Amino acid sequence: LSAPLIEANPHRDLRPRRAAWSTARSSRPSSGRGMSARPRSTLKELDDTEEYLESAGLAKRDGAACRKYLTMVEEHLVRRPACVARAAACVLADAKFASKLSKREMYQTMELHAYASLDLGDVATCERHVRALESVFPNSTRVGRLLGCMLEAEGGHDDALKLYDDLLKQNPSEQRLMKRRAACLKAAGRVAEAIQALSSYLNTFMGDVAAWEELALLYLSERRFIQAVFCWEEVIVAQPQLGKHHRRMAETYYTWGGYENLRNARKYYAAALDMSTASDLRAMYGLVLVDKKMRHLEKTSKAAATVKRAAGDVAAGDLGSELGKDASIFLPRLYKAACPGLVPVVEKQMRSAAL
Amino acid sequence: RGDPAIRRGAAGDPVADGPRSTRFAMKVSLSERAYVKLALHAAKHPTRDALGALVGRVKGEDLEVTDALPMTHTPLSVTPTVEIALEQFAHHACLDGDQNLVGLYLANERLGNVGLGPNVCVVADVIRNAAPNKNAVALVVDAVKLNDALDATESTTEPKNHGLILMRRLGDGSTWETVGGQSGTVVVEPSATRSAKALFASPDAMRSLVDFDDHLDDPARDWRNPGVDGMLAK
Repeated sequence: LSAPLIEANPHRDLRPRRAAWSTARSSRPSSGRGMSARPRSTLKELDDTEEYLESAGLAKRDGAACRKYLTMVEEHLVRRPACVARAAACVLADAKFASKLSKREMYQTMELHAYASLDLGDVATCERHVRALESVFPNSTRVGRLLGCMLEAEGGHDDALKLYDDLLKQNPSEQRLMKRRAACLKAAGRVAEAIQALSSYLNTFMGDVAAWEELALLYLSERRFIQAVFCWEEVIVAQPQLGKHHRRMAETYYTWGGYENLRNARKYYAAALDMSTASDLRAMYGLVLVDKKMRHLEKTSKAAATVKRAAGDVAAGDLGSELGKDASIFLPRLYKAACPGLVPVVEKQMRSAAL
Repeated sequence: RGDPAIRRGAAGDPVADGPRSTRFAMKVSLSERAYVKLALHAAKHPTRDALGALVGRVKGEDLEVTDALPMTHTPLSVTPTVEIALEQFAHHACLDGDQNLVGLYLANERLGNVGLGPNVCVVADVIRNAAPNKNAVALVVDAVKLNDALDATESTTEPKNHGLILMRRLGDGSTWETVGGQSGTVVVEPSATRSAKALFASPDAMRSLVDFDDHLDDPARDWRNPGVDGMLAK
């Protein structure tokens, strides 16, 4: 009973995620921790180490700091190719230091270096590492994924897909490989097939929240709003405490358009604002935009006006109708405190929104 | 009244339909500030679509771009961010010396993709409709050519258009198309490539470049990028 129950659920991702979405690499290798998902360091430590390395550490070849940095990158699965490539090169090049690494750490570093060098366009280094890892791990899907990424980087998406299909035939339940295949289709520009691949993956592995997010974004890029909303709902059900998901759902409804959808957008923006304790700027702007659009629709579209009357906003004392105005009063105040130089621009915008 | 460059409608009044390209080559001149900010934004987000707006003035057929305002680095599938950004950029351009938004720039996610996607075309149309005389351009960053452009020195021949592809929409009936060498060129202030190279080398410049998405994450970060302006002044 010492560990809380939350940690026992492997699908519940409690790691702090930055706003960046990693697009084509939805199946990064984890360090094989499995059940215990709590990281042993924070993102701030990672950023601080990176800053130190960029300014002084790499210049004086500080192997210990590089090693620590690479472990943290591995934990948080962030994508920082420039610094990772240099840190990994520093660790591996120094023969005296390399002998101090455990075999597992050395291969992990080689893998990180390979992925980072692909991001920087350096396929030669990646190939070197792939050949070395292939000789040590002959039939590994992990190395197979790296090899596939290398083929993709050279533009050979069809070859990569053939490789993934072969590997999947031998290992049919390999989740990361399925996701990698969908990402490859996306990178090749075949979005419809990527959607199909990802949905069939999610048919089996429904608990994968990151995959639901990715599928939602794919549907949005094809303007299939109904399906996108379904995916966002799955994400919200899995992680209801994150305001970010509610805000993105609101953005989807807003982009979809139409009076009913705008009402839903307003609900979700309000939820996002509530969860972020009034610090989510996007939600505030969203409320202003929704209000402006709804007023425009009420004036121009008869259908919208009837819906409004039927909903009985005024009679039921619907507080939501005031949110846009409140946000447009709050925003200039927020800017006065945070970024005074932009206050004239924001005030001008709020005035034009009120018209 | 007899000026052939002004298109006339049935009543004989000028029709504002955009510049005519067939007879006159258009010149888009970017200031140092605009080019450097554009390049830095594209370089800061190599694995994403980097989109931004161009601020400047319209001088007949030519465009004079004085500043580039980075907008987003997230996919353009939902509209709120871009809507707010364009409104604020337009107000800023107006307050800052009575200028306008005269175009957008785009650096695509996938290498070799130098086209405007359907969503970007919509944004470009919005900017074009609001620009004076509907004279607006889209500059697409060609990553490979930009690399060559930055490496070129004064002795070697200038790469065409400094690594940017000029796109225009001629008339409300057509689509956004690439403008060939005869019909349009992009001219950049001479010191711009040198400054761009110098700033690329320093990690601070890239880290300090703020786009509208970064600003929404943290309102204290200013998307007008006074920090980068300061670095250029030095």
